[in-house]
Amino acid sequence: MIRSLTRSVRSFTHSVMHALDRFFFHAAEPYAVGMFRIMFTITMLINVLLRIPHTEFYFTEAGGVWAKDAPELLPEFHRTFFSFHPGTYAEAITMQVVLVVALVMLLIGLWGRIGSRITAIIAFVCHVGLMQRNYSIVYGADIVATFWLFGMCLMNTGEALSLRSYFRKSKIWLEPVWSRTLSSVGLRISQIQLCVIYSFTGFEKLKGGDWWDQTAIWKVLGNEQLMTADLSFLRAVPLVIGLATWGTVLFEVYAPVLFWVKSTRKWVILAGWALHVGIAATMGLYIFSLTMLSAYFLFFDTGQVRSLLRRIGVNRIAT
Amino acid sequence: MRRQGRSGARPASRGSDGSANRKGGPSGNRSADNSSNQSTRPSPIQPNRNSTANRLLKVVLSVFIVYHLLTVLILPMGTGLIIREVGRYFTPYANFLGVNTGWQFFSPGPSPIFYLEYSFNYENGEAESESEPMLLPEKRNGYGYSDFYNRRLFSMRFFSLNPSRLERFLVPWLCRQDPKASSVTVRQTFGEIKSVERMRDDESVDSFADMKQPMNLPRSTHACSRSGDSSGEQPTDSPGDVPVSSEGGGES
Repeated sequence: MIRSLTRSVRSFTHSVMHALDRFFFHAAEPYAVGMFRIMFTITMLINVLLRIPHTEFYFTEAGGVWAKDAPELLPEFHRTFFSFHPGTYAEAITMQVVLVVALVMLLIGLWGRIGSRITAIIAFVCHVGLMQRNYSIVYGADIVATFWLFGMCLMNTGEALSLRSYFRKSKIWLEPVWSRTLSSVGLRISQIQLCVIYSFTGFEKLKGGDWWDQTAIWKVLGNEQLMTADLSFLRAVPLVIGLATWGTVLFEVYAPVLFWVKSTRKWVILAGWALHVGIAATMGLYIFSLTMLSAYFLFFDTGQVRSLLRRIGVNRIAT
Repeated sequence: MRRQGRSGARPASRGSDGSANRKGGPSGNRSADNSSNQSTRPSPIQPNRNSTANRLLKVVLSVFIVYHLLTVLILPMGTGLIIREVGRYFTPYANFLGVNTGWQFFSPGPSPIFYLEYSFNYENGEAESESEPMLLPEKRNGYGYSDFYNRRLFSMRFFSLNPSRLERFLVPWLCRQDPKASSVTVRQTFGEIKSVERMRDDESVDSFADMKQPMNLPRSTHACSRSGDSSGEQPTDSPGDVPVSSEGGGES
């Protein structure tokens, strides 16, 4: 009896460990990562290029935050033990230029498994350093970008859909196990992070009366500081507002689970794209929406990516 | 045409470590690291995946995964009991990497329209005067998109909603905008949109601008320190400034 129980526990433990091993270490998906890399780096490049003309306001005392006080913008609990933010205007410009160069290199996929990771680390350090300089101007797109860059530090992002792969003489290459394992971990923690973002946001919304009342979207639409157009005509169809509000909550609460179910994944991705396209179109949060959407590609498999590329006419890369 | 030699494109089969490569999980083409079938096609990964080095890598990565995932799961919990008990083990890592974020987009409810109204006070001997009130960020002329405007809006909220940040960072910055000012008076002005059901049949309103219910918080006056450093003096509430929360009273 005890022996049988021990055997069952051992078998169960082995199955769990095996499943975890498969899940975290064998999931590398170069094409999905390639699509993610392209969309995310383009989005982040736009984000950084929009910031550069206002460098003085954002990253010097002209914006109200002195370099020595920068860490103290945050409560003590959230302060870093080591800050590497730029101290002067010249340093801020330099960090942004380095960030732009690193992002361009990542975008075109110039480097292989070592170079792409080092480039991502450089981009990550510059990005976090600039955020540390002035947290007051940081918003969702920057924060989410931190996580995606962190994931890219682990992934070999230049393995597919890159300049390097395009001009590679040998059509077949050997990817070392360590590299593929690291890529797999980067992919998984980025996927999980996307789900963490949605689940916490969804649960937070469940605390809010406006979301239960299904009028939250109406209040968002009426915010002149965010909206790109006056959509007050929608008051004629309150049901649409109610459905959009409730749909947002349902998506954010359930998507973190439904992303992982093969039969629902496609629909969750479509719903997520609809949600973020809506946010971008109505509220002008283009950078945030594109940053979030870029991570959706991490849930694609190679067949889906290639099919997508064929549909948009990029046959040479897709095949 | 590029030959598909890399991982994701091959059919599911059994890996070199004997593990079944089942399709189906997110990005779940787990034939990705399949190194079998080498007689017909080279492997996309190098073999010997069960070497000591690889096992060691997996052990190290497993520890990292557990720690990182606990970090990103615990830190968004705010100030809950779990954070109070074990947060100190995760915050150095999270704060250093900037992954110490809570996720509250438009939650628990959407932010209202929010401006900081401010005016400069001048002292010329015994005479005192006050400038016209201004808004931070300024009211936009119509609708549109500006990343610069959005960031200044978020920045203003970040400073204004925390009294110590307001005093330490925003007030000195405002004072620097007008070197002649002896103090600056600020108040937060909010705007809520009337309910959709009330507005549905109201033909007297044309746009959201007509549907706002303004609400103002009390004014507070802060002395401008001219010492050149970033810290201001303690705020002084002006007793004559009373809260205004009436229709049309919040916009300048």
